[in-house]
Amino acid sequence: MIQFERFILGNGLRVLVHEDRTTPLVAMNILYDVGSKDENPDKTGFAHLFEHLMFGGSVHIPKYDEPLENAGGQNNAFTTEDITSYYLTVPAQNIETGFWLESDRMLGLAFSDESLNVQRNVVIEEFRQRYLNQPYGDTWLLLRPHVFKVHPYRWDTIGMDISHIEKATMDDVKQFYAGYYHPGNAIMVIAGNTSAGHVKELAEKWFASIPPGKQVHRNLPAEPAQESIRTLSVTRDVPYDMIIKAYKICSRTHGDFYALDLITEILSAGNSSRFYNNLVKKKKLFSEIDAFLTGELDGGMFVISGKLVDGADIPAAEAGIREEITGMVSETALPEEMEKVKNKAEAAKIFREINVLNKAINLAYYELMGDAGMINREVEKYLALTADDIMKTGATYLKDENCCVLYYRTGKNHK
Amino acid sequence: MKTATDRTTPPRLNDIGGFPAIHPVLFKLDNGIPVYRVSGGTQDVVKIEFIFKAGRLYQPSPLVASFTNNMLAEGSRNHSAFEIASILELNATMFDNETGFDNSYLHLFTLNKHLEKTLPVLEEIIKYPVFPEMEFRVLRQNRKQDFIVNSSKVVSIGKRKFRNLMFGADHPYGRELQVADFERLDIAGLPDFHRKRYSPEQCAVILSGKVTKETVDLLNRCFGAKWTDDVQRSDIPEKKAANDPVRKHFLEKKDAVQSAIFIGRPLFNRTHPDWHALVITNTILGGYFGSRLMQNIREKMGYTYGIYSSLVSMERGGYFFILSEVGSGQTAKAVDAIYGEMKKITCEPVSPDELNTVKNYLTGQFLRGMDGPFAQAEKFKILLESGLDDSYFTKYLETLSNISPGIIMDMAGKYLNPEDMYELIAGKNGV
Repeated sequence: MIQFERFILGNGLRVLVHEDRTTPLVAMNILYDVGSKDENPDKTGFAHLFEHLMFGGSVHIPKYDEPLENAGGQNNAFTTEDITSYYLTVPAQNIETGFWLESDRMLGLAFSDESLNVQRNVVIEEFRQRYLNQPYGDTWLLLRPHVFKVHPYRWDTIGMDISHIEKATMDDVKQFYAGYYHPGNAIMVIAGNTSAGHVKELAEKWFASIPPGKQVHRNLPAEPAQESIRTLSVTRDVPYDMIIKAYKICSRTHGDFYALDLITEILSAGNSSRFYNNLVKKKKLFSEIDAFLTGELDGGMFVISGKLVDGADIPAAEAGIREEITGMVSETALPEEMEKVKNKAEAAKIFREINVLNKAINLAYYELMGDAGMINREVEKYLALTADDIMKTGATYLKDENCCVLYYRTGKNHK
Repeated sequence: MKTATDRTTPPRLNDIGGFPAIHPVLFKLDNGIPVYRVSGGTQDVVKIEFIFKAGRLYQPSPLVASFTNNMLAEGSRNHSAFEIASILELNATMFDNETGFDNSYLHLFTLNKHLEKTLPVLEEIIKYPVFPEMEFRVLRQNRKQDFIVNSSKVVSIGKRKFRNLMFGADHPYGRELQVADFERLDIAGLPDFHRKRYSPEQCAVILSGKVTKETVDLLNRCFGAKWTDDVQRSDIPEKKAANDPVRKHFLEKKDAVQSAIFIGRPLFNRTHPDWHALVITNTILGGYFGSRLMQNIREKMGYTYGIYSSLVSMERGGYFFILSEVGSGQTAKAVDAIYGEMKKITCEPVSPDELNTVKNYLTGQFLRGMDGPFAQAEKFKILLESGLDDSYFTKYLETLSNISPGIIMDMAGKYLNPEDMYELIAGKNGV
């Protein structure tokens, strides 16, 4: 159980406080309700590039990192399709340094040309390192536009292409900042060795004077329903074939999410899973295979991704997956499978309550989804599901006409 | 009217000293296995870690150590691989194994209430594995494929080659793994390695989290008796590392869009008297985001997504290395800039401001490393593995508070001279 208090400043900034007196630290997370889905299709990768620029100095503070390190703190940030999240931990004695730094970059950035130039290059190197210079590294660059044709989820957070990052201008930076980086579009969570009273004081002192921004009105194009199975085949210089099957599913906040989540667990979690025992060990079709949900807020994906074992061919491997999906949607899961995945959901909730930074990041995300209190109640949704529920929900989504297949073929000849 | 908040002056910093000392409670199982107990935490969660002297250092031929460890959960006297996984997973117990240079590890992480069902399974795994052929073949094939996939990554191939340069092909730390090693690996050697190395005499346990008396009793019931007859310690002779006489090396990967740069040298492990001061020196050079390498090569030049330097401590030696992946066209410039930073730290004193920031950052890091029983158990593991006591941390904090620009320069001059370094570039040639 994670207890918290919530208050809202006059400028619209929502603040949550979770007190944990067993840690010497305080964690601070500021979630901005902006992600790669808010990008212009001609300027993709921008939300993430912008995340880098948030460290390039703010109105009164030339460098973000050094003062925090000087206070014994550490920080990082990440960007997804839906959000941009900045987090830090600092010894509780120096909590105010976090407020000072975060409030100043919510108030205004330095907009330095040098920072933009350098970070453009850094992000291009990140693109190369993570997407181009790795075997199978462009998988998500291929999969997203294959699955989404209209919705901005069709590009990855790194962007469609390096050229988009190269073209980013200071005007783009300023516009993006004005549009999304203001108190009403943010959720701040403070967790750790502090009190709600102290946090209120500090929040008033540092954040209350930041002017409110214009409320964000999203008008994103809805992804039309798919009518038949889609396939895409690419050949790359990789050692083994890979198959990805992606089914479009509901939003992370929809009730069906939980049943789908349990299906991925039954299929692929651990060495007692169906995929491991049937497809890896018994039929020897895959060297590794996984099923997982991507969890986007406007509707995500149920993804099955497997690398073929040397000697297996794609049709046989795909038939193997198909058989498992058919089994999942036409027969109810075994009682011990249901017990297993529910026990895991229960334990996962408790594991999430151990680390103060995890707690802060999770509270912010649940608050964005509608109510941070759900973090304590969501497990009940898993526990209430029956084998019949998950079979029926599976049947709704895991059908061919809702599936996009990516055949990622090796260019090497097998011996 | 409220006065406006002064945003240009940073808030006053407070002293962040006063650390909880790590004093795990040591007790022994009936057969003498030492168990270190780090209690605490807010959740009813427990972690049990077994550490055996069964790392790569001790293996008679390549892959034996890690395959022995990987195979332990693949079938036992009373349970099939599927049954083992099923019982653990039914009871929400995370099981993992890992094999390092010196030691091998197996751990369970679970809710206290499940332990009664799952600890006896760990007993089967550790004491009575049967090494079934079918599971071995599957594992060998899948690990071989994983190895081949990794062999197309500049960092993976570079790491292998770099250790080879520093320690030599005959040393267990330096031998480079080949695809053929997977094909040559014989299952027959695994039970023998298990019998010799997974004995109570070569074992220690770290218990962390909400540890109850029931857990302690259960642990003793499962592991407190003698379980192997092979009690003699089978230590291996000291092998001298053979460094490559050539300092600069290149490993070609034709289609690479980035090169991995490795620069480093063999050094010593954490029992060396200069270790702590060198850790601080390394932090300034490349050990945190504010480090000179990160600030210069990434934040000024924009050549890379990341660059860091590290010190690695093993039972029989250690090494220092810098690693970065940089755009193929910028490799030479990045290498020059790296040597420039190394030279600078050896001949210019660090400014009081920079030193102060590093000291405060490392103090904060130390605090983060002590946050909760699981983090503390990890810190304690360092002591256990190196045969150190907790005066190690006291000395570290003392070194941190007494460190001076002179000591930093002295450390850098002794250990971080560009002329003493090995250099390896893995990537595209001719750029």
